[in-house]
Amino acid sequence: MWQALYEELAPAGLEIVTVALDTNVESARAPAEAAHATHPSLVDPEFRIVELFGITNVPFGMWIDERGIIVRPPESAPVPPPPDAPDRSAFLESLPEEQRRIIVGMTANAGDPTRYFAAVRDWVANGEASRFVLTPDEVVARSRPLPDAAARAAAHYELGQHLHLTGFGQDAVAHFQRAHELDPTNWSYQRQARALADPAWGTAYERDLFTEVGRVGPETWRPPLDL
Amino acid sequence: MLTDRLDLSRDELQSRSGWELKPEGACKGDVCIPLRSAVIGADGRVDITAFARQLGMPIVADEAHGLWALGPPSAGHVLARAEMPELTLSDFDGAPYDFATGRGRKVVMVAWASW
Repeated sequence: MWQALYEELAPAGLEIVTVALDTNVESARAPAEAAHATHPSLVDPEFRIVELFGITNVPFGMWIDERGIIVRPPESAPVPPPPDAPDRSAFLESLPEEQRRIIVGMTANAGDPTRYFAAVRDWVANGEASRFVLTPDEVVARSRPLPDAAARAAAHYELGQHLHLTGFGQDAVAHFQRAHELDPTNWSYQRQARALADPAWGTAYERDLFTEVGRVGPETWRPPLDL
Repeated sequence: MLTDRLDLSRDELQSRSGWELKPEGACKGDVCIPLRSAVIGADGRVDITAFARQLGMPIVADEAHGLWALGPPSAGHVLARAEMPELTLSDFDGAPYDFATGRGRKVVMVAWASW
């Protein structure tokens, strides 16, 4: 979908740079190749953009203008559904109440799924005059708060990543869990950590991810997109 | 930033963290943070504990592996300013991409993942 938006708007001056947040680069290679991107398609195994910009889930987008000024900080970047997307309402109705509560909460902030692409189009058409362009003060104020706990979480996550990549995957789990305890709404940490867990380790995580989302607060999965 | 010791040379600190120690303080890009007290010991090495404390960076340890990690300076928000920081990442073939390449165009950076 990003490639299609790029092809549509590149002639008008838009660049799209996709960044895969995958500690194991090979995990992202096949889906990246399937996208047939003609724009830069990068990978960030160290989660540098998570720490630098505060990216708490995917897909997230951030806008940078021609002068290198961030004009929208990271935020949920919903992709329009394909025209043949199935209607999920019957499926939702069939679920037990608790599961339905969690799924409804996880998508509560989604809003109109076409509005993010529409905002990008407006920016490309109108530049600085676009109503979606924020002032530098607004960009800073809208970026994620960084209390000491979140900074400590980033440090634990970095330790965990390093241990995982150097062959100490089971030792990494405690750091990944500490990062989650300190910064529970940064789902980038939990989603990647759990994807790295080896089934041979047994129950590395006490609760499954879905249950954990329900416990922390399903609406934190996708922060509100305030366009 | 990871380290296996709590004293580093100034060059090691700069190559690992991007922070350079100058007379005006600890500098990264064109931002300098004054240091209230000396962080360089008599042996010329940087006391990482003192450095981190003055910059408001937390240190967490993994004693079994003899490793420490410094988190980002905790502050009001993740973005202290709206200028895009220097950032180079690699593509899937390992070729570096500097985000400054995008100057002159509007850039949407999109984070995705296989997980």
